[in-house]
Amino acid sequence: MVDRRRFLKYAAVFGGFALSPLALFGTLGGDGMAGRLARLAVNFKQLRIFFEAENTPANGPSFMAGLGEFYRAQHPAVSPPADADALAKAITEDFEADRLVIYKGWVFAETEARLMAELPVPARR
Amino acid sequence: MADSGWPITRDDLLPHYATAQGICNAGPFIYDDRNLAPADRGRKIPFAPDRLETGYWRFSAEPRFGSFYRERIKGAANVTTILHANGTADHLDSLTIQSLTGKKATVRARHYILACGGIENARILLYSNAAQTAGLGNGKDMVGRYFMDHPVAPIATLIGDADDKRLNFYNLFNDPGTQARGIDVNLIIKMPAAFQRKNEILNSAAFIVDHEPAFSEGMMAAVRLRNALRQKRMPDDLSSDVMDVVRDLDDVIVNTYNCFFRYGERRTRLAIKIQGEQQPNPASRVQLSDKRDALGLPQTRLTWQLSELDRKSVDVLVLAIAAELARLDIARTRLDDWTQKEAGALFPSDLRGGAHHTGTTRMSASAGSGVVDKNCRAHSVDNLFIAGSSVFPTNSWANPTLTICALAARLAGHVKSIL
Repeated sequence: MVDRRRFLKYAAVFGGFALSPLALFGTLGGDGMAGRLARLAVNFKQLRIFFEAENTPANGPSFMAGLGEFYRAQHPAVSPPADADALAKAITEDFEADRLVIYKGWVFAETEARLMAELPVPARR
Repeated sequence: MADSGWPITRDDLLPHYATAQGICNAGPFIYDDRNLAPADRGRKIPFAPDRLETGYWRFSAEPRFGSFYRERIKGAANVTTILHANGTADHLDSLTIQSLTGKKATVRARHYILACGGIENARILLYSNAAQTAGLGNGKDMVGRYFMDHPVAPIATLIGDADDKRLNFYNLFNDPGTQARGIDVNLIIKMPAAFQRKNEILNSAAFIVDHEPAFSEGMMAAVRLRNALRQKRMPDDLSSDVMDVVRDLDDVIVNTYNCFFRYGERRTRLAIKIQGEQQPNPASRVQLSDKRDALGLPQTRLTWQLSELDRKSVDVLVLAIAAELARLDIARTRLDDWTQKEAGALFPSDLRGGAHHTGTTRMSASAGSGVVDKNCRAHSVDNLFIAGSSVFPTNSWANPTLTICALAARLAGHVKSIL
């Protein structure tokens, strides 16, 4: 359940998110990547490392695309769950089971890396 | 694990830990949630109990035994204290002592207890080679081997939520609001024994610190000066400390500001720092150098050699912490560059030890695998006992002082029983 305060908080976060590097990826409709990330962020607000203004290497489009490519190179045929709730569950289970991907020192759940592998191709530059 | 294990059990030592707590001025022997005020217990991070757990570190209110016990020792009718007396002889029935100004004397006793520290204990035995040519108690070439210390290093950065104070609750420099007034208690993150066994790793721990550069010499000097002021005594080296503070004044000002105005406030960037157990390793050792000291005695050559298992153990720990903090949505983790495979480093180049020198006269059930027996008596010298961290066959992650004191209390009881 998302209360009003949390809703406003995430609305604000994703207002900024629309202007953030992720916007460079293009199609970010409610059912697309942004929608899924937005739903995910209800469960994992620390996913803000991808798109908040804080100066971390993780919050640039090339980093996210790089993470996706890094994962895709090892697992070319795997796709993440499409449903956001299933994504959140998969991420939790990854952390519980140590299914981790370490990219440039950052520790991610395998499902998060799979999700980044779904990013639109033009961003990978 | 090869060369691991003690010839005594935890239960053998447990009664002496309570005594050691008193010796160390560390309050009651409590290392569980009772260290926290009831209202604070909910601030603990709810780690999956089969992977990680919160541990407690208690620090003495008066760790300087020399000053704290001086008057009691001076006043004890059955104790004679001789300062500046360096042991320079190597006989089994007497000990020659000598000061740097040339004064000499001979001490004869029925029993001797060597208690000079994790490096010096080995050094003294090695250079005492008249009666036993390989060194006193060194017939099996075990003295000086298995030197261990705690690898201490920052290992990762944490990006957490500004609203979540649980991380700061674990900050080594925060007061966690303990009930143990006058005793510093800090929270650490450690691994349950079953998790260590499952992963075949050592017993390492981690704590949270501000993600800032290490303290400069000036800041360390400022801390020493502050401690001396608090304890109403003269600093040990006033002029040197003042000079260090002046030299690093910018760092001292910034850190002092942080101490007064930032601690307890919102911070999002913290670091994980590990304090690892070291695998017993015979090639990690204290030997004698060709150089001589002022008394003409051989100085020490130290080879501190860490292993792949030492590294694997901290890797497993930090990844477990990273996974748990992410699962709980408390923080995300970035491992430091030196941990990356491409860096090719076992540990960072600026790795330091905890100054917890252990293992060089290890306790063992048989003479072939150690230097002292379960009563801290040298296997091959009946009237020689050894006290201190040099008898530890393994060193865990924990600071050794409490166990040193517990072993000393146990040894004192044993020696009293045979006098």
